Amino acid sequence: MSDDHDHDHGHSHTEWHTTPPPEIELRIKAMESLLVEMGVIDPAMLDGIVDFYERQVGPRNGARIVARAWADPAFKARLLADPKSAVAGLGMPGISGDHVVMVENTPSVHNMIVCTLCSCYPWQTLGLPPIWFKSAAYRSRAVSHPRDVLKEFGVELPPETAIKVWDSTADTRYMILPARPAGTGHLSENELADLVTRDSMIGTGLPLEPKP
Amino acid sequence: MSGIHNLGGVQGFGRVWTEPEGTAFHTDAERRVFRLMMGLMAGGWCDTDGFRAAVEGLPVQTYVRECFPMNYFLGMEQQLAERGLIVPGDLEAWMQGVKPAGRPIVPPPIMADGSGPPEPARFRVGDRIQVGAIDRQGHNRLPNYLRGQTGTITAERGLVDLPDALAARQGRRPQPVYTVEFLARDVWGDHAAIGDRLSAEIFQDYIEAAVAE
Repeated sequence: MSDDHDHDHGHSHTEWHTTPPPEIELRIKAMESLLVEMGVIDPAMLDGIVDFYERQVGPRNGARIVARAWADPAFKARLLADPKSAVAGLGMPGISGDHVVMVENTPSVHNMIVCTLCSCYPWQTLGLPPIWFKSAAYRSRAVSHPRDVLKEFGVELPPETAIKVWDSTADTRYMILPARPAGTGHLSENELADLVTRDSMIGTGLPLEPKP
Repeated sequence: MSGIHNLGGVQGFGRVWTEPEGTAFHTDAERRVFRLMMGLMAGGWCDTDGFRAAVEGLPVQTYVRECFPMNYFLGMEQQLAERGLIVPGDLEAWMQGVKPAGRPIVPPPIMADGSGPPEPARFRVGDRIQVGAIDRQGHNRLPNYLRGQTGTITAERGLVDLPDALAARQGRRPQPVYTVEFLARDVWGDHAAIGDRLSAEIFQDYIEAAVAE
């Protein structure tokens, strides 16, 4: 289902889930201006934080981590053992605070992440979560009907592949290390990173196939 | 408590959709609310557990409208009211140009004094355990679909303050958190594929007992 699919009320999903009613919009702006006036928040500092989440972290960082792991077995071993120290050498914002765990997909096990209680997500390597990750539609069924959910993402796994769903209910944040697609032996690390989609690091997608 | 937010296995929310990557914020409201949230968290005017409790406690009709910036904003409002910074009526007054007076300059303490000693680990990797079956009152991080289920501990995640006690403002109760693995068939019955598994982080307080093999 694409994102421009009409919601019940004629909005796209994204609009519906991110556009508050007008009276709430007004209250949001009023709270912001009042907190600035009171000196509680510093707009310049907040602009820096927003810029960080818009420009410096995001799924391309995760894709670089995955591509390095595909290209360098020693790095992959370090990444699985201790993601924080492995990522520290990559020249991107590091992992601090939350406990990040990398989970590797194999031919026999496909992993998926969800937060059924709210929207816990590996911000530090993938950025802010997509809207659908926070949705009741995903949170309710990822644990009970993972194969149906995967089909809605266009992924059909062979029946012999077991699915393991990781529910992030405390401080651990999971990120999936997808399996390297076949026929990519000749690709550079940058080209490999282009095959790594956000959804493949959540477990609701697979990496792209290389262009022939 | 068994609020609507405790969504694992609940029916009726329809199909999942996806969206292209590359957009951190989709609307001005989303960006604004995120900025506010980050600023208030950094200043100690909001806390994670209190915020989650506030959002979970919204009226069900509001929560399931799933307008995320609205829900987060309403949660934030409660956090600020709890600390006496912005109380009901203040925003209306401010929209008329009246600034509230006599408000705290630093966040007042909201947590009960004292911290419990770190709870020793009662379980270890490989143990079979049963999750408590009874509904827990107040904010907690136990998924409903795992209540009463038996699983195997696969990892220890160190000490974490029990969210229930933090959200109830009862103080810190550091205790072990375990990663516990469950068979999907045990939880969902025959519709789950043989071999499919579920894994969740379970606070020691939520574990009923070890289960003998």
